[in-house]
Amino acid sequence: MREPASATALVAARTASVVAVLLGWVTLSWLLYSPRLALFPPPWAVAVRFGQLARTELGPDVLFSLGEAAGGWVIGSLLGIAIGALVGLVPAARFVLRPVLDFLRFISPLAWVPLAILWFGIGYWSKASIIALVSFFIVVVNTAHGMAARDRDAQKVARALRLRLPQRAEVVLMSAMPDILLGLRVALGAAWGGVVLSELVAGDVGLGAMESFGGQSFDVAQIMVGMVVLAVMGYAANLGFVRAQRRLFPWIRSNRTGR
Amino acid sequence: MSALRLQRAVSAATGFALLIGLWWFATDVLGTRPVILPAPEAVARALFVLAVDPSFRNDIMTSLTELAGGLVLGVALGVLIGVALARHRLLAAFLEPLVESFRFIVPFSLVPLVVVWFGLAPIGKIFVVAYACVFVMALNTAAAIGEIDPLLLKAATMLGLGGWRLLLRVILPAAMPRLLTGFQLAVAAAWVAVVAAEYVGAQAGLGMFIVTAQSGLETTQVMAGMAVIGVIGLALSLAVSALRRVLIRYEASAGW
Repeated sequence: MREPASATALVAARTASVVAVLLGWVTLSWLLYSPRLALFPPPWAVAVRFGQLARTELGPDVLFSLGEAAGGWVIGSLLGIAIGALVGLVPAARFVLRPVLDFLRFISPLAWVPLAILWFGIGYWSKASIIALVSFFIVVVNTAHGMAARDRDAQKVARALRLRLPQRAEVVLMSAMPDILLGLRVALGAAWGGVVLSELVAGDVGLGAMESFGGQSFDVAQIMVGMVVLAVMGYAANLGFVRAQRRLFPWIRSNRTGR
Repeated sequence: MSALRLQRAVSAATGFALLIGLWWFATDVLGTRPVILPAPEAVARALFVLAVDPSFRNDIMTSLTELAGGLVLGVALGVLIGVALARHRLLAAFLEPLVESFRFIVPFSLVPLVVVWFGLAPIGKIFVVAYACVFVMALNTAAAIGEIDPLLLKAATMLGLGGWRLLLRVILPAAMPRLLTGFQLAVAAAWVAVVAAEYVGAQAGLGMFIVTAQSGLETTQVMAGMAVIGVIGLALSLAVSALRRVLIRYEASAGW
């Protein structure tokens, strides 16, 4: 079944995929063309709209969304690591907290959006709190898993060497670090969903709000600009995280499995 | 076994008692306003009222229908893409750039788009749900097939299996554990996406229910709706675990 393929054929297939996307897009926009309502604008129309938006509101929207994502991610991750360490290291905490966390996890964080709006209004904190919640539930599970599966031999060695408490804590932390980092990276990816959704439901600034305004005025090109900008930001964040991880923790070989 | 089960039950009971206790403390002793945090008994009463409400039953059925449609579409497409990625080099070279770029498009950023395209019809939500689970399924399928012991495949080929028979009789069972892990993730992602897609531009559904309750400042209804969402999510997860136990009895469950 596995066909041998030459290098040129592979390059051709890769090029073909890019061409197919562009061609399919242009064809669809041509087929669905209507003079009154651009339901499926061609790529160049989206590019033009991007240029227009970039000169006006796109910058503040991107900054606002970035601020929400960063703030929520940092808060949620710190809480997640703290509670996750508690659950992973202390059996009593695990006994009490795990079923609660398991149940709350099944109410998807995004179902908290209406409640967050009731609690925090439509400003910064209603969005940041959702992203914090999204990040928290991902990081807490991964941290607890990493802490529970920590390297007990290293821990014993640390005790035998009579290391001080901060150093012993560091041994445990580093032993769980691959799992924690995996959680942080997955959370970073999931955070963008929280950003766009909570801004769609209630917001006046941010990429989700921009898309929402585009939808209300049947400006599909504006929605598509929002989609592409969000995708690029998500991609860049992931790439940046992987680079930073390789720089800071070069000893971690493979924590890329899973989600 | 039963001791373990007992311990789990006690653990769950303790945890929930603590949670409800904290909640009750916040509402009854600290006296938060009901619009911020209604009392647990008020939410329980709202749940009883909703249980016999036909329009709420309609909301649940709408959400479940959208979930089923999106899941079937997304998982089928995801498995096909995954098999192609793992087993066909030329197709993989064609599909990989597509998957690696399109999976970064946040599914929820499609919501305003499908509202413009499809209006309030469920087809738009099904599109978003399918989009939310197709890439999870594709990447996990590809990984599942890629992880199969090559000796197993060589042995099967040597014994004369090939083509569809190889795929159905050897590759599929060998990839099943990881495939089901992918399915579990896809179901979770799909359920999130159903609720999220219903926030904007829907006629019925649990997402619409809670967002409507929110705009009416009916926090009790919001929390009752969230509880129902959580219970259905839990039931779905348990159903997939049961499926896992039936399909692959030899494989231990992957917990956290």
